[in-house]
Amino acid sequence: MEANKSILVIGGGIAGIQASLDLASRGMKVYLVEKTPSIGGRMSQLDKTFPTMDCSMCILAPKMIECFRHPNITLLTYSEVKEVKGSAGNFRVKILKKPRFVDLEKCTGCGECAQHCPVEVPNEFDMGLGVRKAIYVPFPQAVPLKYTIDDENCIKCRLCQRMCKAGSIDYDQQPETIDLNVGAIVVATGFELFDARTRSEYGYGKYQNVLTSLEFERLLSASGPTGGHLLRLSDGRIPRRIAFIQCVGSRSLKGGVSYCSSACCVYATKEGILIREHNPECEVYVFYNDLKVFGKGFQEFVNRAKDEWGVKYVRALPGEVVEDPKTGDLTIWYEDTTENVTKNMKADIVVLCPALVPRVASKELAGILGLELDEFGFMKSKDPLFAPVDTNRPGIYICGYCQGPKDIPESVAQASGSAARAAEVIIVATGKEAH
Amino acid sequence: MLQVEKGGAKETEQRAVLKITDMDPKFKYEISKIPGGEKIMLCFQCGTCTSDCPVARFSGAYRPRQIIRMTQLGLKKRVLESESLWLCASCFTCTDRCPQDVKVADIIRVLKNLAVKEGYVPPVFKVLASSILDTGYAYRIPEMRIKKREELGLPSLPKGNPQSLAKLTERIGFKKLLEAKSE
Repeated sequence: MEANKSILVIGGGIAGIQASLDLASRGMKVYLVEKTPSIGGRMSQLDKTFPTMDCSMCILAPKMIECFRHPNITLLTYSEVKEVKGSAGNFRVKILKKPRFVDLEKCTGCGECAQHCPVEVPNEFDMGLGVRKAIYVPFPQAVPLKYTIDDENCIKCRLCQRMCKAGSIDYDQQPETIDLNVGAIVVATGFELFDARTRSEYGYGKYQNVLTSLEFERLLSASGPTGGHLLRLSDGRIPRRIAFIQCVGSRSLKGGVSYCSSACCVYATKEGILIREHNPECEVYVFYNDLKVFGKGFQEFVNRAKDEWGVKYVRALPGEVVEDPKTGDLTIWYEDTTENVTKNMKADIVVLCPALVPRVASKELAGILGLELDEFGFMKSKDPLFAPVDTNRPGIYICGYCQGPKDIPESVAQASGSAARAAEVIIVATGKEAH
Repeated sequence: MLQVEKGGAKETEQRAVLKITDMDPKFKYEISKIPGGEKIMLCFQCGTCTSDCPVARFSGAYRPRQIIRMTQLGLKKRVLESESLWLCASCFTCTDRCPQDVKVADIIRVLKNLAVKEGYVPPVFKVLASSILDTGYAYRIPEMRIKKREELGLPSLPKGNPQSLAKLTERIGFKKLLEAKSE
């Protein structure tokens, strides 16, 4: 059996990008499969990163471009893994390349088509807060910067075809199956948010000013729906008080997940500081259960938020959020457990920090790959202590949030770890270091 | 015992120093063995129950979270003597919203039962109980209302049956409890 020198990376978020770059720079051929039209993942949606307050896109975009330009990396965006056969050193993979109805070779990314497209749909990248056209790039820094026609919403008016100077629109594109032969597979499918609607007492989905943290992150971001102006969605007013509620669905034994999502306390702190940067007159309250800030520099970050930025922390999980239907203002009922007093507080915006859960679609992928999942749907490590990135199937490695709750630095570190483990398979199989 | 003063708990009571000798470390296990009290140890004191509680919003004395904490700590005497235990309206909002699936209202019921066994019952409940035993009604219906019913042509209310009630309450030992605590 001929040993294969290439590696498949599933998921184009920061973990998948890091694993691909590591492997590619070791001289291995990498296929990076991403379900959406662009790589970038969750990190591309963030405004800033904690605890350094770096602009998220500014540190991610160079890595995305590097992925695009690296001679050893083949990007397979808008594609999904459909079948995996074989074993370590020789996996036979079938990948479904969904039709974009745009010729990737010809499209220059000029955007003329989207300007004229008459269809507007909620923008997934802005968590539905903004709109995009039926022909779109998910975000301005998308890699590859090529347009995609969303088949579900396209009305086939052919305006884009008429406007496109490069002649790249092709309505006859068909789904394509790509057969690959790879030696190892790295899985990095990431997370999604717990459905905060199930916690009906907080009114998410019912009250316009109750947002999830990722929606709020988009609202803060300069590339977001308001262009970085911090406004209330219901009436466009500048908010005077914003409250964060932690542990919505996480650390819960009833109708949620029992684990700690590990990032929420710190990102709420980060968003709190960002609010104070935007508007120093806007008060910020963080309602927390236990302040779990265990990463490097995180406690100092929270201290700085308290002392320098005036973010206020209240040890309480609110029981209820009530909206005043006339003004859209929200009242939060909570017990300040340090004072043992039931209180209520008016807020203009309530930001829920829902549990971060493994993607639902990763369940199907685990079936295709033959991987075991744990009770929450995380991919199971072979050994949580000594082989965290190994799985029950030799030659398939996991990294990032699909393995367990973690933040960006940990995801990146684990991605490098899984890349090293995947490279081992290739080196052993070929008998020499690839060059 | 928590003293209530015009709807607000006395500050001095709340900040009282706890003595380790006042705590019964086995109390929580005792509670967890009684049906309804199994999940007492899961409570992580987030305060959702108190912030939801319609009674706690209007009364400074009733704090479900505090009752659970006192039980966890084993402050047996203090929790069973506490009059705030009897303020629970049994609306079960706390049980519904508890993220840890602690059956808060059930635990308070368990504690009430224990309190009665130990002889701590607020006087109003004694009055209610003896009223039921005497007339079959928790609430003595005033003559005026009975007359009014006759005037309006409504059927007369069914008579209570204190005899069979007395028999029943004696069988289940309720009468004994009631007598014991009136000593």
